[in-house]
Order: sequence, then structure tokens, then C-alpha cells
Amino acid sequence: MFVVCVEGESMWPVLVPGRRYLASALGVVRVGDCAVFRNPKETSRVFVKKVAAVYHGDYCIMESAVSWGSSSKDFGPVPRDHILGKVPVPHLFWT
Amino acid sequence: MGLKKSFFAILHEIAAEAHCDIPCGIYEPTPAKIAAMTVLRMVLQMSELRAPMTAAAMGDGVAVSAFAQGMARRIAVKEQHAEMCKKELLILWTDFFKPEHLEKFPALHDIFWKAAKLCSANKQEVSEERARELVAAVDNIAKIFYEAKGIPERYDAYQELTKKLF
Repeated sequence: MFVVCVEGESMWPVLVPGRRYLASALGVVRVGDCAVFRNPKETSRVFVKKVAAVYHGDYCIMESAVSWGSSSKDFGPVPRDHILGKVPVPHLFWT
Repeated sequence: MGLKKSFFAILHEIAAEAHCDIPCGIYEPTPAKIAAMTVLRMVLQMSELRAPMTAAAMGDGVAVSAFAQGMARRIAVKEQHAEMCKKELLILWTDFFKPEHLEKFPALHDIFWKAAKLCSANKQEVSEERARELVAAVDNIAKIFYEAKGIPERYDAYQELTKKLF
């Protein structure tokens, strides 16, 4: 378990900027999960985004609720070893 | 609440970005080019303005003040647009360009620094050469900008638009 402090509003309203969330490094990150991962283009930066698809072990990160959010279109697929965990979010938020 | 705080306190905390790794705003080098072209335009006009030199003209208060007014306005516009150009360039430099762009354009910082210096030089001097250097510096940055955005073909459209400003 670890704590994620969210910066930025692209995951709004699911994740609120400035708020801390409990994240889990245990279990498999699946499609629809809110993954915490290292940006493949710049591994010092950690992102939290929703998983759109998983292809051959690589994670495809979807565009967020806001149109200006970044996704795998910008930084490419995220390898499994870049995934740090996930923030459990009730699926109610996504609808 | 206290228990929750204590629980969070013992866990490792990381900051996770939920914003873009690409710029969210609208970035465009055209305003910098318009400002640079305005500086050039003012310099060219200032070189054409003739001061009242004859004894009769020098004694003509209306002619002297008309010259002073015309020159002062162009100086002010040149100063303002050189500053505007610098501001627009700094926005591109500090907001649009990211560390990963440096890998592709290692001279990026030097190019921007020199262009910003040229803006200052154009405030200090009335020089067609300096003004043209500034226009060329902005064009060079525009070329890099469109390449960094992955739309190098847009540079031609930018040139098409900004070359015909006057």
C-alpha cells in the first residue's frame, strides 16, 4: 500500500487535485482501473490515469475526462514494469 | 479522522500527475513574428522620416513637433513590440518546450536566449540589421516549434501568412 497525492485536474472528478488516495501495489491492474505508473517517456514522472486496454503486457492509457489530458497517444504504451499500482475507485465514478 | 491521518502518515507517499505531459494551452509563434515584423517596420519607417533640417523648417514649430511626434510614436511602437516579441518567445520557451524537446533540439536554450537578447538589442538600437536578425531568429524558432509539434508542414503556412504582413 502507498499514498498517492494527485496533481492536476485531468482525472476530475474521479480524483481530486491535492487530495491523497490510498493505492495498492498488490493485484493485477485491469482495464478500467486507475493505474499509477511511470511515464515511459520520462520515468521520473509518475502519472495516475485510467487503463483503456492491455496488449501483450503493455498498458494503453485512455484519454481522461477532460479533452486536454494526455494518454498513450502522447507517451505510448506503458510497460508492465512501469506500473506502480492502482487507486481503487468505485466504478460509479466512471459513469 | 485522527486514525485515518495516522494510517496515511506511515505509508510511503508519491505525487502522481493527473495532468498533461503536453501543453494544455494554445501555443503559436505567429504573434512573435508579427511583433518582430512590427519592429522591422518601425525601423524602416524611422530611417525614412526626415528631420526638418533647413533653417526655415527648423523654425517651423509645427514641422518640428510633427517630426518629433512621428518619431516618438515609432520609437514607442518599436519598444513595445520588441518587448511583446520577447514575451511571446518566453512563453514558447518556458511553457511549450519540455525537457524531452532538448534531446531533439540540443541548441534550444541557446537559440531562445539569443533571440531574447535580440529583442533587447532592438529596444536599444535602431538597426535594420538587428531587426532582420530578430525576424530570422523567430522564423528559426517557429521551424523548431512546428517540428516539435509534429507538424513541420505548418511552417510553410506560417511563412505564407507572416511574410506578407507589409
